[in-house]
Amino acid sequence: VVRFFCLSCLSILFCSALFLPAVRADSVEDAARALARKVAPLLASHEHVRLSWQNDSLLSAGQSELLRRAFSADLMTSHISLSEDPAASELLVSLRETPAELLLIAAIPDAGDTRQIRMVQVPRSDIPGSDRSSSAFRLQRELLWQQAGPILAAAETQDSAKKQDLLLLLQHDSLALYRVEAERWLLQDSVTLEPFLRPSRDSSGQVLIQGEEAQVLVPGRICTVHLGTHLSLACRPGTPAWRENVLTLSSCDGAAVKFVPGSGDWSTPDHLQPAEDGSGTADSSGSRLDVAGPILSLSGEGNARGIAVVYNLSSGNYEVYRITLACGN
Amino acid sequence: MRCIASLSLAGTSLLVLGALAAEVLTPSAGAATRPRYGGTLRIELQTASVTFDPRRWQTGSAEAAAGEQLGALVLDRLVSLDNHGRFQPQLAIEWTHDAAFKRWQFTLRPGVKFAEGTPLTSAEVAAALQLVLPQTRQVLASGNAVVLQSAEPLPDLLEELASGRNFIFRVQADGSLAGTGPFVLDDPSKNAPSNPGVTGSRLSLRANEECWSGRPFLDAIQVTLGVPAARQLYDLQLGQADLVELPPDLFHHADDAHVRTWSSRPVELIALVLDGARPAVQDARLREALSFAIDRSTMAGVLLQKQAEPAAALLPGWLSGYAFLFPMETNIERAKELRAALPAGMLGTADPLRLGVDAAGDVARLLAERVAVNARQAGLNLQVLGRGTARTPSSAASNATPSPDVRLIRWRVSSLAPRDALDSLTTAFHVPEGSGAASSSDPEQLYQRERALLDTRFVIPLVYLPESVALGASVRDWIPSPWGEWHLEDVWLDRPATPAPPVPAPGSARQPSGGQGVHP
Repeated sequence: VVRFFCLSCLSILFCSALFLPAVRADSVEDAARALARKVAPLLASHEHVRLSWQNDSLLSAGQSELLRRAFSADLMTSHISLSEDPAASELLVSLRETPAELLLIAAIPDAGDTRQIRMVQVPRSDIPGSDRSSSAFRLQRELLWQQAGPILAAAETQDSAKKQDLLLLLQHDSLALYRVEAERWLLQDSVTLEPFLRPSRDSSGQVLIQGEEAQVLVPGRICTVHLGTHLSLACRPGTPAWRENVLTLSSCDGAAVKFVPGSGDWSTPDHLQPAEDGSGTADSSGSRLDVAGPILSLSGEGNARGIAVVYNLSSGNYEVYRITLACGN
Repeated sequence: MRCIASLSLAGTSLLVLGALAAEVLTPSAGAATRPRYGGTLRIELQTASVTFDPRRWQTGSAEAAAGEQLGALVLDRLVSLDNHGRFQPQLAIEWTHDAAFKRWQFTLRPGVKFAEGTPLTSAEVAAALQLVLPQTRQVLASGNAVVLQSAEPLPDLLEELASGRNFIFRVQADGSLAGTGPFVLDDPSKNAPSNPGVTGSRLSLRANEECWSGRPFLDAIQVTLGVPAARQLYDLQLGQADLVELPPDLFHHADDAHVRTWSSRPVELIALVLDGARPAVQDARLREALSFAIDRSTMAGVLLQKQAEPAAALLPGWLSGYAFLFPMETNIERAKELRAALPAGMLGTADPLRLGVDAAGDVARLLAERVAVNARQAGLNLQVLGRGTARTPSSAASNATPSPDVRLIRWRVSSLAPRDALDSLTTAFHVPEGSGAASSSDPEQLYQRERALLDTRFVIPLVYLPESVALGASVRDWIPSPWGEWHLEDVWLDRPATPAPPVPAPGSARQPSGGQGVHP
C-alpha cells in the first residue's frame, strides 16, 4: 500500500510538472530554478544530458552565468547529472526577451526528432541592472573646458569643505586648478612645471587624484601636488609608471565597467568603449561614446564619473569632457 | 518617453554648470546641443488615406499602422512601455490587479485636459476603452479611477494597453474625436466618422500648448498623404521633407546617397494564407509541399536586398521570444516527394492554384511571383492573380467571381501583447486554429498554439519586414521605440524656424501622387 501511495504521489508530481503553465517568477535566479524544476522530470529517462546554454538576451555575460549556475545547481538536486560528452542528449536553454518579459526557454530532447518545450518568464523590469538591456547603460559626455593650447591630462575632484567642483588641468608647462563659482570655472591657482621639464614633443601626462593630493606624471618627472587654496608642487626625476589609459566607472548594477579608447590613432576620431574583458556589453550601441578626435587621456576610477581629454580634429582645440554613465531614465 | 523627456529636463540642471562653463569660457563652442522649440516637421506617407479614429482601424493593415502612428500625436494611452521593458505612467499614474489578473484598477492622472480645455474624466476614459477593447471586458469609472473586469485572466493587459488602438479619446457631438496628446489636428472634422479618411491631401497638426506631458518642441507637423516612395526620398534629398518612408527596394539607394535612415525591428509579416473553405487546399500534403518549396532565405536576402528576415513563425522573435524554436522548413526534395504523392488531376498539379495578392506595393507582387517560381520547382502550379482579387472568404461568398485559393498577405504587428497579436492575425485572415489550441498569454501555451497553427499550414510565413524611414539632417532627438513608435513629441529641428507654408486647397497644389516631379 505504501509503495502504491508513493508511486501515486510521484506520478502526480511528474504530471503536474509536465502540465504546469509557464511560471511567472519573482526574480531572475528564481526563474532559472523554476525552469530547472519544470525540466527535471522530463530528463529522468536520459542517462547523460549536455547543457547548451545560450544567452540571446541583453543580459550581461555575468548575469547569464549566474542563471546558468542556479539552473545547473537545481538540476543537480533533482539528481540530473550534466555531462560535457558531445554524444549526450542536448538540453538547450535559451534566454530571450520580449518587449516586457525575459523568457527562459528549455528545449528537452524527446523521442524521435521532437523536443519538449518549457518556459519561465520574468518581467524585464525585475531584472537587477536591467538598464543594461538595449542600451544597457549610456555613456554621456559633458564639455567642461576647451582651449587652443595642448592639455595633457585633466582630473576632477571636489573641495569637501566648500562642496565645490575642482578641475585640474595639466598643460605642457603648467598645472592649473579651477573651481566652480556662480556656474563658471574660475582660476584658483596655477604652478609652472618648467623648472622641472625639458622641452618634449611627448604629449603624455597623467593626473591622479589621491585625497587632498594629486600625483602628476610627465615624461621624466614624477610630481606631487597639494590641492589647497594654493597649489604646492614637488617634483623628482624618474620614469613614471604610467597607468593604463582606462576609465573605470560604476555601472547601473553596481559592477565596475572598464572603458578604453578605440583606435589609438591620433589622426582619426576616436571612441570610448567597454574593454573586451566581459565587463561590458561591447555590442550595445549606447555603451560606445564617439568623440571628435583622439582621446589623449582618461582619468577616474570606480567613480560615477570620469574625465577624458580629447583633441578635436575639426576645431583643433583640446577639450575636457566629464564622462558619466546613465542608467535608464 | 514623455516622462523621460521631463526627467531629462529636470536633470539638465545638473548639467547646467558644465554647459554654462563651456559657453562662458569657450565662445567657439556654438553647436546646438540642447533642444530647440519651433519649426514644422514635414512628413510624407504612401498611404492615400488615414483616419485618427482607432475604432476604424483594421488591425494589421498599413492604413491602421499609419493611423496609429499619427494617432499617437493627438491621443494618449493609459500606459506606455519603454525600451527597457518598464511600463511608464501616461494617463494612468498607478495600477493594481487582483491575484487572478481579472480585475485591474487604474488611477488617472489628475489635471489632464483635452486640447480644447475641458478636463478628462474617468467616465470618458472608461467609455473610450469600452469602444476599443473586446466586448468581453467591462470597463467602469470609479472616482478618479477606471476598473477593468474580465472573465479571463489578463496578465498581459499592460502590454495591450500600451499599444495598438487602445487610445483614450472623447467622441464629440459631431462624431470627431478629442484627445489629450501633444499635438492637435488643425481640422478636427478630419477624424469624424462621416469622413472616410483624409485622402490625397495634407494634414496639419499644431503643438498642444497645454499638454499634460509638456508642449512638444515642434510648433507643427505637416503630413502629406499619397506620395509614392521614390518621390518621398527625392523630396527628402531636396530638403522638402523631414521624415519619409523607405521601402526595402529604396533602402540601399538611400544608403548610397548617404541619407540618414532608421529601421525598426521586423514588425510586418508577409505570409501565405490558404483558404480553409476551399476543397483545393484540403489535402495536407499539398500545403506541406508548398511550404517546403519556398526559399525564404533568397526572398529576404536577394529579392528584398537583406532588408527582411526569413520567417518560420507568425510572431517575430522580438515579440514572442520563442520564434527561434520553429525550423525554417525549406526542402525542395521533400516538396517534390509530397507533390508526387498527390492524386493526379488535383488543383495545383494540373490546373493552377490561384494566388491572390492582398497587399499593395511592388514587394508583395515580387514575392508572390517568387512563390510561384518556388512552387513550380516542386512541380506545383500556381497562378498569381492581380491585386484586388484576394478577398476574404466572407467577401468571396457574396461575389460570383471565384476567389483565390491562396492569398499573400501583409500583416503589421500592432500589439505588444503576443496573445493579442496572434488573436488579431488569426481573426483578420480567418486562419483556422490548430487542434487543442486556446488563446492564452502564457508563453508555453502561446507557443503550442502557434505551433498548432503552423502545423496546419493554412498559414505559411514567408518573411518579416522592418519599418524603415529616412530622416532629414535637421531632425534631432529621433528616439523611436524598437517596434516603431516615432515619439515625435520629443523631436526637435536644428534649423531656423520658418513659418509653415499655407495648406493648399485640394487640387490647387502639387498633387502628391501625381508624380509631376523628376523621380530619382
